[in-house]
Amino acid sequence: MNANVLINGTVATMEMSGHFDFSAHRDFKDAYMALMQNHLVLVIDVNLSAVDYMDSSALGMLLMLRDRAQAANKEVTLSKPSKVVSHILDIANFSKLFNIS
Amino acid sequence: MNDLHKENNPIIPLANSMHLANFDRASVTDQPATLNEASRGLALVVDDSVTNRIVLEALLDQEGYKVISAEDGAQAVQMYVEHQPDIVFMDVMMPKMDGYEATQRIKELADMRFVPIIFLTALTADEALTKCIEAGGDDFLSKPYKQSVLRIKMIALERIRNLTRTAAMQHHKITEQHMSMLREQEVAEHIYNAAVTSDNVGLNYIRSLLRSVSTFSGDMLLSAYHPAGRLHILLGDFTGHGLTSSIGALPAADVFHTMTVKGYSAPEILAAINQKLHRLLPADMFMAGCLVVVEEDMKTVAIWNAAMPDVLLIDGKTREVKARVTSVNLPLGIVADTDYHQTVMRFDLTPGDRILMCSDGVTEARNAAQECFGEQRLMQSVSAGSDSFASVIAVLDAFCTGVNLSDDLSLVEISCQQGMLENVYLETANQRAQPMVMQDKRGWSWALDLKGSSLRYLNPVPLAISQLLEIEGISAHQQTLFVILTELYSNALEHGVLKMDSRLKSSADGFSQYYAEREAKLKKLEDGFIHFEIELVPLENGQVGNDKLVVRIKDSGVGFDFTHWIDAPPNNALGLSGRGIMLLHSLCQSVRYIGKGNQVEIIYALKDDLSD
Repeated sequence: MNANVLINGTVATMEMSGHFDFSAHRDFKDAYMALMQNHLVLVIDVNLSAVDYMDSSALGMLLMLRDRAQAANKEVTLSKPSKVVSHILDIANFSKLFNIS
Repeated sequence: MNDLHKENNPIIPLANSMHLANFDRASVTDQPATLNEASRGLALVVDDSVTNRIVLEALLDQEGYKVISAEDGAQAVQMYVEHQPDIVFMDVMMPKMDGYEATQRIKELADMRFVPIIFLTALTADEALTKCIEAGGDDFLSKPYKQSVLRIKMIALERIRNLTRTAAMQHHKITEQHMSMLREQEVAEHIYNAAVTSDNVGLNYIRSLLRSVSTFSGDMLLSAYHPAGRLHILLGDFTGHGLTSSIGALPAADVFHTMTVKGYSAPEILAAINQKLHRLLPADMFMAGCLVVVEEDMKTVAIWNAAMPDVLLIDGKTREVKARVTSVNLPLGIVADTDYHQTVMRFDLTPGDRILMCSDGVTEARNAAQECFGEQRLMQSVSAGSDSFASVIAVLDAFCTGVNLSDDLSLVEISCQQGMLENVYLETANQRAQPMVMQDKRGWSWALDLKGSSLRYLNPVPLAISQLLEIEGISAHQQTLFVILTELYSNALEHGVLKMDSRLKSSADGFSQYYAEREAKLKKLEDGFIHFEIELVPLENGQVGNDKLVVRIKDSGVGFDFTHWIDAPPNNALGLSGRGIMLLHSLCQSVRYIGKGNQVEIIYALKDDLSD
């Protein structure tokens, strides 16, 4: 699991890859905490295209990110989930909480 | 031999290791404190030659040791037992018992305690080293020896001894902590079981497989009877597994059992669990869950799915999947104030039908090739054998052969058979606490006024039932009273406050139209009232169990012409719309309409013997 962050204008993209589960906790948190301090960033997009699997603790991490982002007036979006990841997001009905593209 | 006295170096300070040695002596080992207090420790010198002993004793004394001596191996073992020395200097050739044997015995006696034993030998180095190490010795020194060499060996062995003692002390601490953790887990497990699973009911009709990664499971299965005669079954799966994820199970189970027994509806219960978890759990923890409600007539089942794999409705005869309930809800505990009225799926039931639900531990179980079990395999395995539940387990086990469980896994099958709800009355009675015994001057009343928009969301029936249970402990009457109060209240609300026409309900289409209209009107409700009052009237002899309950309810509506109800209680011919009033007449001692028909008073006898 890796979390690469790219900042382009007001949009920060967190590119996740591999297994997105509890083992990614620290990397993921470190990545988004750095973004919280950045006033220029208004949107945090979590790019899931390279994630092959994700479990409920990853869903929890996304919720934690959403919580923090809301407090910092930033929006969180999810993008390019694979079929498997998309299915997991569907079961949890995360489309009600996140803008998924 | 004279080498010994040539050097007279000062004692090398050993601040660090001395500190450890003292600390360790005080806390772990139980040595006699008399001989080795305030010194480098106690040394045991074993030699049959008086001269050798005196020389070595003097040298060790100079180094800061207290010294005791033995003349042969047997005496050495004896002195070891009595004084537990910190270091031993051992000659090899001695009468009675030689140095090798004495060393073996002392090492056996010392067990986990590390006692350095240094051999002093005139034998050649290679030979001596081998024999002395084999016997359990730690080092050797060839005679004649230099004092400086002896000192260095002592320091080296002291270091090892201190390290060993520190390790032993830490091991001891870890063992203690581990024991105390096990004790705590036992207590926690007991509380968990008592709070979460012990209240479950209907277990003859529910088969379940719960496998957990650790002592505690993040999955939980709950069941309870609703006073209206329904069976509520909830399967929950908390984020993660182990103790942390099972913590949320306690409040969730509490809300589920308490509210179901008090007669709250399934959407209300889900909303309350959601609210409680939202308040208690950190943002990244939540509960996926599905709630199944088997209705009292066993003809319908209502299923809510919140982020669980599809719930399957399986035909009792053909074993085919008749319906799948896909999750349309968020997991519980994420968003506050969630409404569950619209997110239910209802199905007709035929006796023998089965409902199968599972946690994602089943669909995401992996085989040796890291493939997921998946919904496809689950669906296929359901129809594979004559017993769906057993067949899923068999297929799953075969799939996961040789792979350790990575997430908690649960599979639950509910068999909707005749007799499933027969024990509702008995078991709901058993679930109750013992009634509070009221003594003299009994009798009380309880009233509630609901006004305007509070009628939209406040349901006074569960409140009233819980009051009755707490004050009178009349659990045997709970179900009947629930039916009576619900009838009275919904009549007052629907026909009185909302002014709805019950004739709408006479056709199947009208029925749903009626409820849609009710929903719409309720949303817009701004004024109106319902007054709700319960009074306990004790009989004069004051015996518990022969009392009467009087329930009065008044609404803001225009009332109705009740004259034709007075003498002739209604019968079945009235169809769907007269059902409520007919039910009231059959359950109550009397039903009386007052005024223009917007008030009603019923009397219910609290007899001990319900068969009467």
